[in-house]
Amino acid sequence: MNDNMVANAIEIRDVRKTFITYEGESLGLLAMLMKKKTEKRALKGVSFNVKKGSITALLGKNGSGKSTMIKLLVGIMPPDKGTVRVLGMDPWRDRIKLARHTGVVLGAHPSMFVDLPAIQSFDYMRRIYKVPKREFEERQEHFIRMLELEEVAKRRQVRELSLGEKMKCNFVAAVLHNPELIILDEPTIGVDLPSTLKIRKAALELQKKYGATFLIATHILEDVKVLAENVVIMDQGNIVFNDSKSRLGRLFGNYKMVEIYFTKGAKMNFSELGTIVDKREAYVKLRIKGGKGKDKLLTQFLTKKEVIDYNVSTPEIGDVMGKFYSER
Amino acid sequence: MDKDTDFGSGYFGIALLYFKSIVNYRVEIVARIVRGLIAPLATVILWTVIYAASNTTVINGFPSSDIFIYFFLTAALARVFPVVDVSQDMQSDIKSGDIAASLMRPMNYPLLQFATSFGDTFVDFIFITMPIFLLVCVIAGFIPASVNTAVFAVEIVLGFLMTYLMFFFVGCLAAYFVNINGIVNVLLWVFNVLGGRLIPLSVFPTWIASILALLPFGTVFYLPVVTLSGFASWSYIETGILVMLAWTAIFLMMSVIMWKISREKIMASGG
Repeated sequence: MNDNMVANAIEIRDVRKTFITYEGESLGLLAMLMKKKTEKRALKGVSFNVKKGSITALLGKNGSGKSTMIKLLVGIMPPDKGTVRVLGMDPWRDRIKLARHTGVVLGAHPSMFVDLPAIQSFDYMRRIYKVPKREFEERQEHFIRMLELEEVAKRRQVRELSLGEKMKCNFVAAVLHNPELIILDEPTIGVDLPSTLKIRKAALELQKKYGATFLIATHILEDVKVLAENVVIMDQGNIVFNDSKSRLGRLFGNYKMVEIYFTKGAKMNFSELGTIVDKREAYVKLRIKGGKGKDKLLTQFLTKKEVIDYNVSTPEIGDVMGKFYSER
Repeated sequence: MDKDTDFGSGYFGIALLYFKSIVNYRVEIVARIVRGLIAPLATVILWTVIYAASNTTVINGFPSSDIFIYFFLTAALARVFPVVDVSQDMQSDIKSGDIAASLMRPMNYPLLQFATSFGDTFVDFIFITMPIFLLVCVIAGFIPASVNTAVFAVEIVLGFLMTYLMFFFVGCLAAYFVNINGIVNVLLWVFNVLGGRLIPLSVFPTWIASILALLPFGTVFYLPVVTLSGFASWSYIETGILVMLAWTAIFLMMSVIMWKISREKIMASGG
């Protein structure tokens, strides 16, 4: 095992994956009998690393290649070309061995026995991951308490639970064996805010206390804001951004939104500050690009006697992502 | 074994959980029992009509007095073999992409499916197969010999393995065709007709019956029933067991190869 393998939980080098699909060309009744064979290039030479102990967000629009990437990482699909190394293993060849060290939550696919209370599935996880009973019980109680699942997990059938409760149970089931790498695919999709907050808290604890590495594929930008240190953005089977979250902010969020309330009839030149987004009587909303010179100019402007009140805000991750996609 | 490290078997655990999942629903159990009784009842009525219409009490050496025992035992057996369920579970797993949830665990998928089938079958064994056996014994005053019962048990185990492997092989085809309901249904009817569930093999012309005895279908229903009821000679039973062993080995090989080559395609077929 070389140094890179020790430092990186995930190493992806020039990975390619193409699917063959059959598409009907018209809406006619028999159109699907005459389907046309087409190739869909899901991954077009993807490379990136995920450092051990870090939390990386995997972002991208639907069909960008995120789910294919995750399937390659857990070894349920081989790449056509390129190298995939996860915890120093080849996931396709060492799927079962690797699975002992990873925890996966696939938001769209059930991982528990829906006709039984979740605790029965947890016990099943103990058996298949071979976790000593005492250690398992301690971790189980800890996460059940942390995610407030006491009543839910022990008494009610999984199918009767709300989406948020099911997702929290899925999360517990994925981390009971103390995995080194945790892959979450849409962990908070459709989940209410209190449950989302608890899942995030548990994820952060696992990273800080146990040094777990996280790869989180999500559309929920608040997950990125709260959890991620690094961001990998995929688009049409390519990596289009791979750096720290702060750099993403610097590149695409280097601006401020400023709202100014001023005295009626005051003649002020707002365009010297930035782009006017909204203007009404005695109110203007501006988008101002970063830079120290601009900050000084803004400060001087806001101290003018015509300015009654103002509000300065920096962009949210959602705005940053919106700008990222609009500029591509 | 130390309690702290008593992991049991993951596969046995899953069989147990499937058993528990099913017995959670009492109406489902009752429905299974009713279904288990209706099928042989319909076949017995059909054959009673056939005998009555043909004005005979024996057709190709199969006496009308054996109708009740034969068809009720066959129906009891039909619930012990994971016919159809394996393939349809796999089709559903592959089609929906839910197979990903199984493959991300440190488990062997064919064994996982086997355990699932075993859990499901065990429910029917407890609630259908055993009660029907008792029913046949009580109503028909039928008491099988202990040697026949022991050989019958071996044939059931082999039959379970063989049918599981055959339908697992068919289930793998879902990786290529996605919807395999048609294939499964054709195979199911071949099983029912050529396996002795609807027509006892002895009723067929001798040359057809001897060919059928060498195919996997004939050993699944017909062989165990004629073994238990004492209708067959020991040489027929020995040959039948050898045929079962051979087909189990063939289907094992086919399933292993098919799983290996279809695994790459599996996730590309579903969600």
